[in-house]
Amino acid sequence: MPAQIVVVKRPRGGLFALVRSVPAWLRAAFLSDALAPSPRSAASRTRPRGVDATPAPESEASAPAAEPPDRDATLRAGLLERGGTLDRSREGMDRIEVAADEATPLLRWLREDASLGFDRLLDLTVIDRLDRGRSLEVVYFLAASASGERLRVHALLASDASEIATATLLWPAAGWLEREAHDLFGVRFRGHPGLQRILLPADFEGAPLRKDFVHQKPDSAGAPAPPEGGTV
Amino acid sequence: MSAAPESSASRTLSERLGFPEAVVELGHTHPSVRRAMAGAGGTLSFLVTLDDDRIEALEVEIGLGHRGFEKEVESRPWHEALPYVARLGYASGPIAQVGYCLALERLAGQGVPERATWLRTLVCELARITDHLARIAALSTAIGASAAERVAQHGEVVAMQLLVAAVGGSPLGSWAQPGGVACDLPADFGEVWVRSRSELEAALERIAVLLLDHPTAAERLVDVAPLGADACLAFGVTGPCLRAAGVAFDLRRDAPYLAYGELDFDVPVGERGDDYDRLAVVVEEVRQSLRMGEQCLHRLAALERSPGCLGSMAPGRLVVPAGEVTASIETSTGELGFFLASDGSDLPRRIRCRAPSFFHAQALPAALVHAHLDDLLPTAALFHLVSGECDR
Repeated sequence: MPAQIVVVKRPRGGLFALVRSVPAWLRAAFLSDALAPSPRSAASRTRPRGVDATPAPESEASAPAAEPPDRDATLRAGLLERGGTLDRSREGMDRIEVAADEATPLLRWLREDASLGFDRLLDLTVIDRLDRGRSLEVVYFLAASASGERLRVHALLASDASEIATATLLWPAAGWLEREAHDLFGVRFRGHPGLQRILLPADFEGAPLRKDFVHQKPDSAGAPAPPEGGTV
Repeated sequence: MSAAPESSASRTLSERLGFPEAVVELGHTHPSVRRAMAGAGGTLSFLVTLDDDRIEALEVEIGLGHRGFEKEVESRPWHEALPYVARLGYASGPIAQVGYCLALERLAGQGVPERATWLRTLVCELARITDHLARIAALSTAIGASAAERVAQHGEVVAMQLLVAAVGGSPLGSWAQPGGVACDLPADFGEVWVRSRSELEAALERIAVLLLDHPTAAERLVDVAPLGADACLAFGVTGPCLRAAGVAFDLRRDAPYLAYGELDFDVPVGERGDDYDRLAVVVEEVRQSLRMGEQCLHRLAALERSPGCLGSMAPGRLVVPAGEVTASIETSTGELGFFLASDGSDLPRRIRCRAPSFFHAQALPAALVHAHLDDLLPTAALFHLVSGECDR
């Protein structure tokens, strides 16, 4: 059973203004039924899957956002040009790997190419594999609102520099996400408009989510003992 | 402050009067902030630059509740993350746990029995009802609608009692487990449901009368702090706030997980993305959740309570191979995502939580610039900033 989309009722100028001029007791007695939200009577229509803006009914015809059949080929060819490699992780989501210096043109292409249109940045984070002889990876989680497709881009940072260009010009949502990655992983995002700590205090030292930052559990030997008999 | 004003009309009031602009800190200990922010009272600060009573600039400060969630869970075996995950939300703890379990099960290739899946769906909807009513109560507090506040709080208590009955105790316990759930519904749950459902429906009717259809209340909400579809998508806003802007995106419909693909429900959307639309969407979603709960119970009545119907209860023996997975679910706030990366060792390589509140906190200034200071807290309540997930 496909879920239906219903548009919630809003107070309309004429009726709403009229209702406001009716005394409260009269309104309660006669009008509450007329004003009770009735989702059944609201215009309801089904939509294809994916993000779709509803307002204009005339957009209904163009809504299905047909995915070009050669999308996979477009993606592979485009990636080859831009130094990216494509594979699928276990859940079937596309996963692109690219070197950090080549990440920005690739991300821009994913965002701006009409047949791909990854216009949403769902999340951005970092994976630290330095202890495995690999590097830091900045991971971009992207979604295309027309087709509902999702993919991840893993940008591999050079081992001697934890630095990459900002994605804030492509997706405003990157603003805080990059601040967080900077805060917790010590990655510098070149060109970010205000790269300050966001979760930790400004005088905190270190990048706590890196694997070489040792996490001291409260019960571990190195932790200070609670004061005896006192309240903690 | 705008540069080189042409005429006196284009200058701000403070400039015309020759005052410096007023900067007000609505700090985390401010009583109004504490009262209005059900999910984040005590951990969120606002730095507001004012022109008269209009907001010229707004800074949202988060992090006061940061407790190193991701570092904690990356330092222990996979299943030990569950109590931490539950604390990402207030009543929505079980929803977050279900999301984490879905990701972990995908990574470990573990199946879940049908009955456990339906129980999870039911509990997610009960938690959503509780959270939504808490949000309506917070909004009512913020606009001073005390009758609506009491009705919503009563509804929240009723829904919370249902949730507690369903998960067999505190919603912060580890009810959802990798591979299943910890306990089944109590024998008398059906009766409690029937009673609570009519109480909740009555509460929704009264909320409609007291807030949505009430001219004075609606005046505080209509065209206040609108955030359109484009801005919502650009800032990663999801959930009821995105739907209020007219974007019909709900993971329960668009990427069905659990049993949502088999449920019959409507996705309410708004038109302008203002406070009124946000509230109307939330109220309608509670109604839809009640519909879904009813269907879950029907289905559960038909499913046998056989041994093992709740799923594996030995999470310690979970074998997690190397790999990367994501799982996204629709919480009461928006899209909650988990990204798990394993290198095959005992400890996780990376557990990343995509917290919807974090994005909402970032988008809040875009909605509130040029709004009245009075509109800050109602809007923040409707954006549903939950410090547990926002600060991690």
